[in-house]
Amino acid sequence: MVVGGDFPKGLTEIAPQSDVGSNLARRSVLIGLAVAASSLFVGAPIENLISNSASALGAGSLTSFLPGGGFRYYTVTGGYPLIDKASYRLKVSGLVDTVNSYGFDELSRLNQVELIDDFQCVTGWVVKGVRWKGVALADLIEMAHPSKGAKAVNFYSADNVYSESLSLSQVKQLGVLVAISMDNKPLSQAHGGPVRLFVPKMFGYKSIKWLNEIKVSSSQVVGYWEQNGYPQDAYIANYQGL
Amino acid sequence: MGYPEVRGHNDHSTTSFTPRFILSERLIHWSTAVCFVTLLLTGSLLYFPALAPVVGDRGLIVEVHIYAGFLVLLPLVLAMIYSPSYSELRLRLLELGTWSEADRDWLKRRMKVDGPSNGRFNAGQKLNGAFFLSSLIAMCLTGLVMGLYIPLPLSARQGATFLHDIGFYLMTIVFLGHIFMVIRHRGSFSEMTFGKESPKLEHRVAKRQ
Repeated sequence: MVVGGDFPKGLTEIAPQSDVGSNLARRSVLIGLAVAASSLFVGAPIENLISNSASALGAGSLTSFLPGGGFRYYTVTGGYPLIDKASYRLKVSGLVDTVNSYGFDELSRLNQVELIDDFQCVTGWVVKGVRWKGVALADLIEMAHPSKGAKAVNFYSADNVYSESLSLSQVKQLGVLVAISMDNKPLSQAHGGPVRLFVPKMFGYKSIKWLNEIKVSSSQVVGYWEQNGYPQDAYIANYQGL
Repeated sequence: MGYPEVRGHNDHSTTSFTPRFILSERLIHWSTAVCFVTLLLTGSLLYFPALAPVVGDRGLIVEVHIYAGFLVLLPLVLAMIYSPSYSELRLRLLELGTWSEADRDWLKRRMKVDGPSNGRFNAGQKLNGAFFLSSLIAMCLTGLVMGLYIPLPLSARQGATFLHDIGFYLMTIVFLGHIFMVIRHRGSFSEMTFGKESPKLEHRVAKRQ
């Protein structure tokens, strides 16, 4: 016995065990640290492998039930704005010759563009191969006839808090969509429906939800997350860490 | 038969009563449990699409989740830092965190002996504790990567998120197992809450001797 007499009853048998047995607690701590550290290196490849093999087996919809598959739903206000499709208007204004406003039906009658792209969140989660459909933002801006000083496009959400922006040249290059459908379904309220933006090649925070105003401007507004330190140029390829 | 004589309170000839869990152990257990359940609930609200719209203020839920994450291991860490080497609490914690030959044997002939294999805990209970310790550490670290926007490559953030998701499922399963065992062994709840064994369990122990 290593220890003395006024030992709590029932515990005398315990102390000497450390030299016969391995220390489970220390091992647990090390395992926890090791698993967390290795997830930084192998987590993403494993997840990609799982989702790729699931879609290769024709079980693409299955990935949404797998851990890590599927969207996280964000809102920066309390809850999701509820927008009535029938009374919804999308305003295109600012440095333009013609201020336009579109109802949902008018938008869906315009020339529709479809594209498939991953939805990549800057916080790390990703949804592969999302099918977006909607009107090309460049078309809407073209129809409003931007005036001379126009250099940027600012976006405002119906939640009255969130805003985002792109340069006019980015709008043309990236094929930005004013999306009204996702994976062949109308956009749900949680996904920013009835109308949201989808910006390919950029992080998800650029793809503003519950879009209700597009303002052509001489300069970009600093968006909601950009005020909190996110880069305004949200190219996924240029990511350097926040 | 073969039942270790480590339960002081089973020795009815003495007047000293040692509860199965002393007050400080119970405080650590329940403060950790409150944080854990908070994490589980707020995490579910943030994670499941079906539950997300139920939440009024997502920002508040996020904050509660993060603070609970900071607090969840604190009781145990403080206990390990501030309890003196041979204090009762430290020895009791070490008992749970020590793996012995007897535990390995118990695991081999699992379930045949329904009681502690060596001391107060059987190997299953020790592994339960070890699982929660490991996974809480992993969840706290991956949560830090996710929540604090630590400057790391995107694939590292994706990997941390992936592990946090898997951890959520695993911990939920083991937690439900833990609840199941509490229901199966009725007395264990009052042991952990009031420090006493229920009459039923004492009866069971007495019968075995």
